[in-house]
Amino acid sequence: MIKRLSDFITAAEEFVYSHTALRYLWYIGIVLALLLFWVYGEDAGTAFVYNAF
Amino acid sequence: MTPFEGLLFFYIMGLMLLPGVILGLLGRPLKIYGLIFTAVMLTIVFYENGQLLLLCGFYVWQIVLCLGFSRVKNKTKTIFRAAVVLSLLPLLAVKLSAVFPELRLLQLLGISYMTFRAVQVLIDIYDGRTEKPRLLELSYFLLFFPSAAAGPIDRYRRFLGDINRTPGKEEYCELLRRGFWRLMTGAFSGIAVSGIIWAYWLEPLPGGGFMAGLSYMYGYTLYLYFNFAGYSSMAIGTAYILGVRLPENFNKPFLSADMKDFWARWHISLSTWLRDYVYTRFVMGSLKAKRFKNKRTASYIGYIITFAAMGAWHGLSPNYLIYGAYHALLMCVNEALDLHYKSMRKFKQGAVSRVLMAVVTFHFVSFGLLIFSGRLV
Amino acid sequence: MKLLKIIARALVLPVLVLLTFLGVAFAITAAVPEYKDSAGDDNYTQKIRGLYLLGQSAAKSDNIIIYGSSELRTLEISTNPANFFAGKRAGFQVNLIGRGSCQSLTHAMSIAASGDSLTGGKVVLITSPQSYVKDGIAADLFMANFSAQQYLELMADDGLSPEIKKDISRRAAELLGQYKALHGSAGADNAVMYLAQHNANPGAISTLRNAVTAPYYSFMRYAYGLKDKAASGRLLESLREAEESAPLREIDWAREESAAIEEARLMTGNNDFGILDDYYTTYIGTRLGRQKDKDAGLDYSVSKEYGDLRILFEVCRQKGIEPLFVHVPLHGQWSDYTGFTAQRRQAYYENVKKIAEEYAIEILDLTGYEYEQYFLCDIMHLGWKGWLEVDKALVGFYNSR
Repeated sequence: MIKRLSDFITAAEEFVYSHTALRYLWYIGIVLALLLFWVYGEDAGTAFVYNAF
Repeated sequence: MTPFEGLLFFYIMGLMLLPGVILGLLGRPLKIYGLIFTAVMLTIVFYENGQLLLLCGFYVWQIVLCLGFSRVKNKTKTIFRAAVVLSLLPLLAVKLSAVFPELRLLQLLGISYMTFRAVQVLIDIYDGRTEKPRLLELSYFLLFFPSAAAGPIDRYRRFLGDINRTPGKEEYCELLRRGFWRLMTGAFSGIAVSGIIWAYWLEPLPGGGFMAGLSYMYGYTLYLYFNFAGYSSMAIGTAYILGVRLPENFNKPFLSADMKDFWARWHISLSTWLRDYVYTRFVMGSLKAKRFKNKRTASYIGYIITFAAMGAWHGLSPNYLIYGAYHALLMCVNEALDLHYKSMRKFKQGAVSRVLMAVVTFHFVSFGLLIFSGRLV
Repeated sequence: MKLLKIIARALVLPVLVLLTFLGVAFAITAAVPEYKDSAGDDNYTQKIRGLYLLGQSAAKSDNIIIYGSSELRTLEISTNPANFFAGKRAGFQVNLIGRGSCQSLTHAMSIAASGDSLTGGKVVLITSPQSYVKDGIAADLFMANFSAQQYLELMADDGLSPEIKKDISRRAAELLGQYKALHGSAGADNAVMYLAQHNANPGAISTLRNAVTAPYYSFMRYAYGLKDKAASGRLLESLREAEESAPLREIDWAREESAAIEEARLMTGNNDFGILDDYYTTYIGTRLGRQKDKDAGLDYSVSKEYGDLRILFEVCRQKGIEPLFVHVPLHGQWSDYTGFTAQRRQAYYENVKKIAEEYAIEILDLTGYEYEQYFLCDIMHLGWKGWLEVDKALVGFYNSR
C-alpha cells in the first residue's frame, strides 16, 4: 500500500510536470499562494508598547 | 539577504541567472558563467550579512589545505588525519560558540556544509580518487552558490563530471524546465506551506502543556519537512539551471518503514556523507584492525559515533546533542531488531504492517524533531 | 522567425503571472468596503503604517486628523476627542492616528507619503515632551512603526523637495542601521535600509545597486498598496456602521469642565498627584520614594527630536498643510518631585515654541497648565482638563477652516 502511495505521488507529480497546461496552472497556483500569503499573512511587525518605565 | 528568502533575492538571482539560461539554450558551456554567478551571488549575500571577510578567510584556509595536501608526496595516515582535523577546525570553532559566546563573531553562513565538502575532497585525495584538484574547479565545488548556505552536500567527482560537460540545447531545455519546476515547487513548499504552518499552527500554541506539546510535535515535524525540503528543492532547481544535477535531499520521508529507511529519505546528502565517511570507514577499519571481538559491535559503535557526529554537526547545544544520541539509540535498536528478529523483516513487508511501521516510525521521528526544536530542552 | 517563436513561448508564463497578479489586485480593491467614520475613533495600527485609510479620511471634509502617540489611547477619559465628539456632535469626526513610540519622524513620513490628500486639510499634531531625550527616538521604537510603504511613496512624490527627502532618508537610514546593528538582519528591512542610505548619501556602488533594484522597489510600492488595501478592507468590515449623527448643539464648556473634574476625582483617589489610580498603582505605588530626584540629570535642551520636529513642520509646509500643533506640558508637581526643574522644563517649552514660530505653525500652547490639577491623567498624558482644552481648540479649529 505504501509502495502504491509512493508510486502514485511520483506519477501525479510527473503527470502535472509533463503537461504544459497543468504545469503552468501549478505555477500560477504557486504565485497565487505566495501572493495571498504575503498580503494576508499577519507578519507580526514589532509590536512594541512604549513604556516610560 | 538570506538565500531563497524574499522577493528581492529572487529578483536579483533571476537577473543573474538570465545570462546562464541564454548560454545554456545556445548550447554553450556553463562552467565559466556558473563561477561568475557564484562569485557575484556570494559577494552580494555575504557582504550584506557582514561575513564576506570571514568567507574569504575560510575559503583560503580550505583551499590551501586541499591543494597543499594533494601536493604532499607521501600521504601518510597521520598527515591525512591532521589535514582533516585542520579542515574541521573552523567548523568546531563556530559550533563552540554555543558554549563560548565570544566565538559568535566567527559564525559563517553555510560553514557546516562547505566544511563537509572540503573534508570530502581531502578524503577523495587520500583514497586516490582525485589526483590534483584544480583551483577553479575546487573553488567552484566548495562555494557553489545554490548549495552554499544549506546544501545538499555534493561529491567532488560527481560535480566535476557535471561542470565539465556541456549539456547541449535539448538536454539544457529539459534541465531548465526541471530546474524551474523544482525552484517553484520549492518556493511553494518552503515559503508558503511552511510559513502557513508556522503562522497558523505553531505560533499560536502556548509554550507549555502536554496537548500543546503534542500539537507542536506534529506541527513542527511538518513545518521542518516543508521548510527544509522546499529549500533543498529550490537549491537543486537553481543548480539544474546552471547545469549541475545536485543530489536529492528528501524522498517522501514520512513513508519510512524504519529508522534506517528514514535516514535514506531525510536529509539524504548528509546521511550518505556520514554513512560513507564516518560509519563505513569506522566499521571497515574496525574489521580490518580486528578492534572488537564481535563483528557486530563495530556496527553498533559505528552508529553511535555517526549519529553523535550528526547531532554535533547541527550544533553543540543540548537539543542537538540529545537529538543525535536519540537517533543513535534508535538506529542500534533497529539494527538489533533486524539481526535478531527475522520475523521483523517479514513483518515490514506486509501491506498493512508496512503502513503500521510507517506510522510508528513517523512518531519516533516526530519525537526526535520535538527534541531538535528545542522545546523540550 | 524561430527566435520570435521562442520569445513568444517564453513570455506565456510571465504574462499569465501578470494577469493573475492583476486579477488578485482587482479583487482586493473591489472588496474594500466604503470608508466608515468610526475608523477614526480608535488608533488602529492599519492607520499608522498604511496610507489608504488616511487618504479616505482626508477626503472627507468633516474629518479632523489627529497625529499623536500614547496619549491617544486614553479612551477611558470622556474628554478624549474620540469620546467627546462621538456622533459628530460638533459637526466633525476625529481620526486618531498614532500610538506609543510614534514620534515626529513617524508622523512626518506618514504626511509626506500622503500625496495631496491632506493639502489644505485639518490636521492636528501632538508631540510628547518625553520624546526629547538627547538621542531622540530609539531604533526599536522607530522600527515598530516604520512603514516601508510610506517611505517608498514619499520618495516617489515629486511634490517634495530633494532636500526634505534627503533629510528623511538620512534619519531613516540612521535608525534602520542602528536597528540592524542591534538585532542583526532578522526583522530588519535591509532592502529599504539600503535605499535610504543611497538616497541620503549616494555613492558609486549604491547608485549601481539602486539602478538594478529600481524595478523591485516600484513593484513593492504597488504591492504594499495592495496589502494596505487588504488590511484596511478587513478593518472596515469589522467596524459597525456609523450611527446617526447627534444633532448639533452648543457645547456648555463650563458644564463639561465640572463633569470632567468630577470624573477625574473619582478616578484618582489613591495619590496626591492627580494621577489615574491604575497608573499610579502599576507604575509608581510603593516605588514613590525611589522616584525622588531620579530626573535630576534629565535634560531636554539638546535632542535629535528637535530636528525631527523641523522635518515634520517642513513636510507640512511643503504639503500645503496648516496644522494645529498642541504643545503639551509636563506634570509640574511630579517633575518637581523627580528633580526635573521648572527651569529646564521652561527651556524645553521655549525650544519647541521657537521652532513652531520659525515655521509659522499655529500653536495651542498648553504649557501654562503645568500645575493644573487633572490636566494630565498621569505623569505624561493629557487627561480630563487637558483634553477639554484640546476639544475647545478643535471646535474653533474646525470652524475656522
